[in-house]
Amino acid sequence: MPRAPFIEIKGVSKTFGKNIVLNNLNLSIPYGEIFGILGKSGSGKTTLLNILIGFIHPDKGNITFQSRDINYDLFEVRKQFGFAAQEGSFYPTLTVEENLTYFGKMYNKNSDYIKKRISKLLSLVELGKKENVVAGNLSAGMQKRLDIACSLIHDPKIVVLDEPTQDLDPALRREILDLLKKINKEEETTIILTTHLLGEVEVICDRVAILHENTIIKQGTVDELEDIFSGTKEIHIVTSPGNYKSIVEYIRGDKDIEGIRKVGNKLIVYAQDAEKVMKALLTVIDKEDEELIEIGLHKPPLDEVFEYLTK
Amino acid sequence: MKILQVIIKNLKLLTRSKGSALIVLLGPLILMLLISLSFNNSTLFNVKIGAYSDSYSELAESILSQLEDEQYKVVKVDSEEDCVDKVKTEVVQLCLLIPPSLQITSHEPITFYVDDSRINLVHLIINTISNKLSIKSEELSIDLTTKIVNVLNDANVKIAEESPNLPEVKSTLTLTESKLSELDSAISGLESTSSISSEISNIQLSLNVSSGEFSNLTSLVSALETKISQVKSSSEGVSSLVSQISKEKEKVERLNSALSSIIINIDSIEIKDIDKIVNPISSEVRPITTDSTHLGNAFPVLLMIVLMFTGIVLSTSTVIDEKTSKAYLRNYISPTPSVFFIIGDYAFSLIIMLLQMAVIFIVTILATSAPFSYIELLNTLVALILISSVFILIGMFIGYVFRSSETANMASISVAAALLFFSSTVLPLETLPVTIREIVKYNPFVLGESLLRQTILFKESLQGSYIVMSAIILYISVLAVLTYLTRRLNKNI
Repeated sequence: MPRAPFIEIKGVSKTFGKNIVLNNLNLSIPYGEIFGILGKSGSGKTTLLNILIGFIHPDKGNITFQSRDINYDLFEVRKQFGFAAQEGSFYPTLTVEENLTYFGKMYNKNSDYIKKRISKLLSLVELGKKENVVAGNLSAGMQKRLDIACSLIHDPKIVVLDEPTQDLDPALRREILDLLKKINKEEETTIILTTHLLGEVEVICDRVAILHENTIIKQGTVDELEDIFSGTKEIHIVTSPGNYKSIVEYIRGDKDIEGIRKVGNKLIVYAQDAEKVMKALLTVIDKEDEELIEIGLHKPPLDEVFEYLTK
Repeated sequence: MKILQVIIKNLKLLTRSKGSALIVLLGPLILMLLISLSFNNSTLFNVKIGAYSDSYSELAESILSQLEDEQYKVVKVDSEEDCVDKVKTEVVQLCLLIPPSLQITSHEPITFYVDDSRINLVHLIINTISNKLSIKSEELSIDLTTKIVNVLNDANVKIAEESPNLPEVKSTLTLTESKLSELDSAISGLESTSSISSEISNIQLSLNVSSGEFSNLTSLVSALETKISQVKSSSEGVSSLVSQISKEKEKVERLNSALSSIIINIDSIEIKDIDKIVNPISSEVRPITTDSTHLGNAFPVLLMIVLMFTGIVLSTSTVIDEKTSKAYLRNYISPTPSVFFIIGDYAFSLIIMLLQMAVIFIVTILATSAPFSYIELLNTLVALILISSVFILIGMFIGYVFRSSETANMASISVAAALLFFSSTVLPLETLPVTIREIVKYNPFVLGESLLRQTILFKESLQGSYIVMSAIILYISVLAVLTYLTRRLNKNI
């Protein structure tokens, strides 16, 4: 059950010169969730985030945070926002602790609070023993974690992250995604992130908005988006010894079948009436003396939905 | 080919940013144009000379009028102190102290008080004033020499007129001499006539004298008559000689009167001292700086150069570093007003500059043993803070206006160079046309230099420089507002 909008973006437009970047964009972000903004490169994701944090003013439209227009109460609203940019936003020549202390002061926090908060955050982002290390000397993953820690120093209600896993290897990516989940859970922080990596969205986002051609074309939970292909389901079959040719020949004429694809040792069948096709498949498997190892019904993944919506 | 591609790429990058292109391509041209238009000659314009004398003689007035022309304006002041103060405060560029009732015979020199700290102006001004005075001096020298030559000419004419008479006087005197000599010897011959009297006496005493004795008398009388006739013949022409002598006497009198006149003329020449004739107006140059200071006159200018370049370049790079730093966005979205960042950057630059100044002052004081009282140091500190503030804010403004560090650095150095050129450091402001100088005198560098000279060299209090201080404070206020607005505009893309 979606909660009341925590942040609401209404009719936001932004142009740079003659280039329309955002056009009449509407978006609702509920409290406490991880919200993904999905879009191709250059679709305006970063611009949208910059408008959200007040760094760029929209040409049209308004943004409300807990029903307050952020432009009328900017300083108060900013206290509730944390931000982590693509390339990190800290001083590479200051130590981890110095960076956190400085930004804590910028958010009007007192020294005692900052000290306690640093201790908690360094533990959260697993930089406990790195507080006196110069930020520029940290590894890429650690720098990303420091950046996230900087965005959390003032205990914000919302953290906005622009491509948080950009340029990270898969292992580091997983690390950061796990950290975001942890933050969302332990700090009860609403997280808004942009990405063009669909796998990430499926892994951590509760809700997703697809940004395409300067506006949001779809938003909802991952399931809701996947239901766009509501009629089509995937049947995943693994048999032994895996003579899929005869199986395919048998079912090829079925009008409910929309497509067949072999991925590794797995056969994927796209079908409208999946239950009916699955029964037929089980019959063929039995006939062909194939040993059934795995069979299951799946929704099409988000990347296919994304491809379908943005093509 | 690859090199060409690199060049083309760089050109494209440069021209993509209008600000960069303007600064890189047109900046130096504009700077050169401004400088060449302003310093198109080395003539001094509207230089003010303060003059003071207890009593202005005719000669003093004529010297002052000689000095006054299109370039120089003479301002009479009320006292010597006032005159020197006016040099310190740059109301006048030079003070002329004229001895009371200056006459050509006076031995006291005319004194120039100059501000030695304005090194290039001092030499230029002394040079031109000396030229003007030497013209006057030359005029006086010509007058004196003309007088002497006139006297000599007069003597020459008179002597020439009278000299032809001298041979005539000489021959007359020679003739007179021989005549008188003859007459003298003739008169000597008359001495024997004294025996006639004795003989006559003898005759009178004896009453009866012998005929022999009468014949003696007769022969004596005869001899007397002969002598007398000889005297008569000798005295012939004496009367004409007397009249001639009378004439010659007139000539001698005329000659005497001519010589007397020559002597009077020579006596009428007042100046007979050769040095005075050659150089009738003597002068000396004195600096206005207090004797107690050991700091070089160039110290304020050197400080200003350090302050200006450090202030502008440091603050520009601070702002640019901040703008281009990864942390800029986080700072921006924090609930910290812009003014805090501006004040923070300003204070940082100011602290760095004051530290530099402290080092310079400590080294200077230790090296030169220059005495500085606490009040003087306090005044200097206030002056340094004010001046530094102007340059820091100029640098910050440039930093916020330009986006790339290259352009901003070039702009900051260009601005600093322009401020330096339009000061008295390279060429005196007095060589600028009056209208341009009226603008340039509000150049922060010029104002700062003036303030530092007052506090460091002349040991003046800051109250005396309230106009300069007001201008600097006005600069600070305007630049602070501009910097704030530029930062705000710069952020809201």
